[in-house]
Amino acid sequence: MTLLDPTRSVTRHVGARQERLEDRPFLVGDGRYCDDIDLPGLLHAAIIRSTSPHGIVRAVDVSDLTVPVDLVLGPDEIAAASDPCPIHWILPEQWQTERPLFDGRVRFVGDPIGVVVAADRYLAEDALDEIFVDIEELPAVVGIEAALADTTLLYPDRHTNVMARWTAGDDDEHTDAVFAAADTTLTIALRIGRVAGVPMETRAIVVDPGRPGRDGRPEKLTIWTSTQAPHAVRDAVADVCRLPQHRIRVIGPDVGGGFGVKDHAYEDELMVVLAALRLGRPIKWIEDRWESLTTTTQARDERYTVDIAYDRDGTLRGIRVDAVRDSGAYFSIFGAGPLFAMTGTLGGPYRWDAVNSHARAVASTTCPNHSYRGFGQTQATFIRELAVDAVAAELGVDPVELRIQNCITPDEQPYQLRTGPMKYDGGDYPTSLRMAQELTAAWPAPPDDGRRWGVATSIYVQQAGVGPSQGNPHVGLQIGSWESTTLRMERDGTVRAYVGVSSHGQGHATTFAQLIADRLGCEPEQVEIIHSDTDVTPYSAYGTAASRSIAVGGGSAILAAEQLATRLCAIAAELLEAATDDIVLGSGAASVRGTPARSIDIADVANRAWQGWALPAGYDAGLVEHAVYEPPEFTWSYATHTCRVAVDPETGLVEIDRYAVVMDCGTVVNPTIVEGQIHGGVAQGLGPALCEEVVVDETGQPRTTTLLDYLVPTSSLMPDIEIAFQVTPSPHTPGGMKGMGEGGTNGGFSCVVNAVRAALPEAADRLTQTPLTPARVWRALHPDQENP
Amino acid sequence: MSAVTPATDVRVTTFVLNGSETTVTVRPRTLLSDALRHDAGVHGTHVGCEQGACGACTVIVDDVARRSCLTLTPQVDGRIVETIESVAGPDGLDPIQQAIHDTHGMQCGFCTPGIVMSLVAARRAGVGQVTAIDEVLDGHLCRCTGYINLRAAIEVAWSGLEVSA
Amino acid sequence: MKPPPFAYADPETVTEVCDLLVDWGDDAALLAGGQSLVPLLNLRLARPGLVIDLGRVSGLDSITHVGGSAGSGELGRGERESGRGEGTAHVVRSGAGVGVTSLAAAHPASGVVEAIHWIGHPQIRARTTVGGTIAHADSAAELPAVLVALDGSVTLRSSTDERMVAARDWFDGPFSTTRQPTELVVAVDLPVPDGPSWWGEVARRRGDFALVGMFVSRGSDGWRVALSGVGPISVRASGCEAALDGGDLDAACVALDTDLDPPEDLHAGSAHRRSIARQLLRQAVAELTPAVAA
Repeated sequence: MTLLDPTRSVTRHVGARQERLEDRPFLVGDGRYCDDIDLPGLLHAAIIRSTSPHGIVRAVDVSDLTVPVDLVLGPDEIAAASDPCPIHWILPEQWQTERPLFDGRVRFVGDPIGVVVAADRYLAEDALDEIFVDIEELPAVVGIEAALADTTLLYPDRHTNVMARWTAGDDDEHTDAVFAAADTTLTIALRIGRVAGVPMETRAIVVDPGRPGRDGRPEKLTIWTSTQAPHAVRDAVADVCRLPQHRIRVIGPDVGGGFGVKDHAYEDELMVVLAALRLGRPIKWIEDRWESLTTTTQARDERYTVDIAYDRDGTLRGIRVDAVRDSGAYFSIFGAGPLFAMTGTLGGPYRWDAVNSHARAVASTTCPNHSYRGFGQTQATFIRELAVDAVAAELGVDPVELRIQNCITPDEQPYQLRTGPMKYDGGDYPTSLRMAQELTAAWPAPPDDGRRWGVATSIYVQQAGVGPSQGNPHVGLQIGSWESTTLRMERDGTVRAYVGVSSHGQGHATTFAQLIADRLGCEPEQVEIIHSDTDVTPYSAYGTAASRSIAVGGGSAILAAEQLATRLCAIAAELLEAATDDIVLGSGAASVRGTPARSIDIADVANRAWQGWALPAGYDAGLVEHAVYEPPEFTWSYATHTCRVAVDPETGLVEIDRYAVVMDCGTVVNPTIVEGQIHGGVAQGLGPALCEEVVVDETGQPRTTTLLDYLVPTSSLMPDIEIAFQVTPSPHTPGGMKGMGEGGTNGGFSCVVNAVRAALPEAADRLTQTPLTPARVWRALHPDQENP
Repeated sequence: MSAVTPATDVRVTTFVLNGSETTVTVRPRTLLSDALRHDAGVHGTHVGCEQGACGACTVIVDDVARRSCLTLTPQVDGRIVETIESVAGPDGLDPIQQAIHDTHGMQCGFCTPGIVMSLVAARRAGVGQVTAIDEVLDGHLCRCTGYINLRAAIEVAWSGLEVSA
Repeated sequence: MKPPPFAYADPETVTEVCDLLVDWGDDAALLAGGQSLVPLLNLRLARPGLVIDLGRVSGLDSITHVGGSAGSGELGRGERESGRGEGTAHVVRSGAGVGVTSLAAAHPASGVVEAIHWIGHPQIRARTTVGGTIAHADSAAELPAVLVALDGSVTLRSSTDERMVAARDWFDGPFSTTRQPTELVVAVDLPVPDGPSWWGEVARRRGDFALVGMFVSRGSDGWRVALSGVGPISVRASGCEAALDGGDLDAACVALDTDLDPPEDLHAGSAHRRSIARQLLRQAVAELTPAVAA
């Protein structure tokens, strides 16, 4: 893949701490999120939900309804008016390839059944109080053990609650042989608790059916929704609500955080669309926080047995995992993808003779379990790094030196993984660990304050981006993963870039502008990034997810910019009577290399192009370029995270005292934004490590239904973070970027948990279930106490 | 002698909003957060939880930062209410807003207005930097930034002030 | 989550409030600061027929110092009071509408000030009233434990009567008091201990409800210890107090275990809470003992 010709452009924005271009409206309260959208005649919806974790819906009784409502759309009408939602990721032995909006049953508390529409949300909720859903209750199935027992089946036709099953990596025979040949092995059982994404803006949708067209259906259905993937939403609306795609427009307005949970259209949102189609009126639905904590897809919730084989000289030989994931009531669009990603990235930066996983996903009467920052790689990092720390403890060696000893070295790159047809794309893992050692060596010794202190280091290699598209079906993924950008330079030299990825805080308006400005020799302020409107922005089946935006989206932006730069140079060359290759773009002008006095304003070039004047042979008028980037491979960013914790043995409270990161994400477009992603990622690793946990009781009732029960980190829990960079550009991506947005979570979750284990080595055998709440830490230290 | 407003009735609430007298006529159970956003025309105050836990809805009433989601609209009758829209001046951003921008203390922007209002109220009350970081900021949830840059923003914004620790 | 329908009144006098309570009884909810009631309304866990907004009621927002050898007036924090016995005890009387931050500025006892400092975040604390938090009776909250420790009292008024209820008779269950549906809390008395006092708390995050909170004071009438978060109501650890009066900290820790029957919940188990309580007690005694020895 050709990279930027460094001699072509004389402006350097990539790598600079460019201040964000998009901030002002948000700072002054002028953000336009879904709930800020108002339309004439707008009505408001509330969702009728199951209060039972499992049952057969017998009736929806509205006979007591006195509140004035515009519509009650019940489950039978919904089922009749819709087709099932396709599931995009089909893994081995996975029977569930699609999901009807309603199939007669409810399978978790909060499962949507219908929609009430009224003049405002208050009245709609009043109406919910007067609607009674008659459910013939079935037993709840809560927890992996209950699900595996198959005593109660969520899908009786299937005869089991196992929803998918596969093996990954080396085969069992080879793995057994490696384990037998190794000096010794360790086995550890682990449990990762369930978490919720909790974006600060809850889910939201505004549906405007507009006016009827020639067939009585909407001429153009317009939808605003808080989404990471507007095209994915449009695809779902078309498929489920039976509408032709060209008459659906989905817009992502400003979005208040996504983190994976907004990567698809939800059943309740699609029900709101059906309600709008039925009424012919615009309808708004804003998820409330109770719903966000109980019905927005959740994450993790897995049980592992990990075996690690090693020699007494510290050589790691094999790692083998048996994993079960509680997938909740049904699969969402990416199915058991997170567990698949776990089995695929288990090996990490180490040289193994065998990497093997057996994995199952099971159904339970809980909220569907789906994408969240990390997407299985958080779990892979945690399991592997915990096992490596256990080996170091058993051998009595320094855990960082043990890692360095086993790391793949730069001269082994590109390194073929054992778990799939993928290769690491360059990097220096040993130096990452050494740099981390230097950072931590500078930490002052902890005080002698009666607390127990521990340090842990975790290193991960993150599979970022998805692709190539051709390869996706081989792993069961039914969508493509290319990206494209359409670039249009206006008459005055300003630029509009239409991109397929969406932004919900990552700063694309700035970073993509930096990428484009560098190639065109202009300023980032002159580049406008347009995203998230399916009428206008290019198709992206995947949207913003999988840490793919800067590498794949940015890659396409670079290609389009280079095409546009070539066109500008060719036109300028014609005007300046020079060779195209001798033209340089910079500071708003095109000039002849070596003779800056021979130059022409870019605006001049642009105007000529738009008027069709003095164009070189073979060039049409206009200044629009479209480029598609099909990633040939994944990119693999990597980082070492080290933290020091202090544990109060009497209370079980953990304080994170120091934290350092060594990050390599290839070309760093904007260090400030990358650091911000690391900060936020670590926070979302730290939370599940210590305090975030979705709790559902044995009767299937959710217990963590407010933000006073589900505890996300506050500022006082977050340490400051020292960050150092390595830069190993990816050979695959135009520009050399490697995606990194999710990585902070991988490192954060792993090193915080492992630091607590290091602080309390005598209790490590009992510190195997996350989050390490004060209660769990205390119980691990006081195993003899009854009724802790 | 005040009357009882029946549940189905609306009630007039008049208050000063960002310097101008404003009247909304809503049911008494209408939360101030909703009245501001949908009846008074200012949508910069955001709703994150309606439990008082996240702080996104924080506004200033009579110089005190409080959760508008835990305030019934009639409670602000005759009071002075300030929302995010009042903070920037004709000459540009308030130092708190500027600091959040300069330190990259904002990503998606949803929690930001509430944080700005809490900090504006704290600064006005002479709260020191340490308290602003350790206590005032702790009353806000942010999922994007990990708070580190927000702490830096408070240090920047407070660096020019003379307040007690 | 929007509140259910309710009628609304914002009377301006205590008499009007009481008259409304005669008509509505326990179908009325009293709105003080709103930090406890409105979340319940928003979840529709509370469905009162009438919400009585106390925000404009006059006569509930004064703080007076009652009794004490110096009469009513200003005392420095931690300053020892020379009077003995109930007749000359110095009491801080807060109108029910007094904000807890104003009480913190007025009450001389550092334990009371510190307890208030732990109430939620500044944005919540600024809207928390003394009457509201004592009437809401959350056993994980700070001021109920302080009231119980100091043998404070609650003044109630109805349309026919005014009475005072001692702290030990006030809380009778989780979120439950002996207030009758026709009564309004108009004042809360918090005595001033004639010796040093201390508040400590362990919470999962700063500002959260306490896993365990503890008030300790040492005065001429001995040690006082009360806890939040360890039972359905705030707990006065009388066995622990007796052991402390006897000068035996280890015995006090053992007695504390017996005084408590902490719950198991999402956040901590009962043995864990006992352990935290013991740790807080040791911290408290270490802090308060040198001051006494001086």
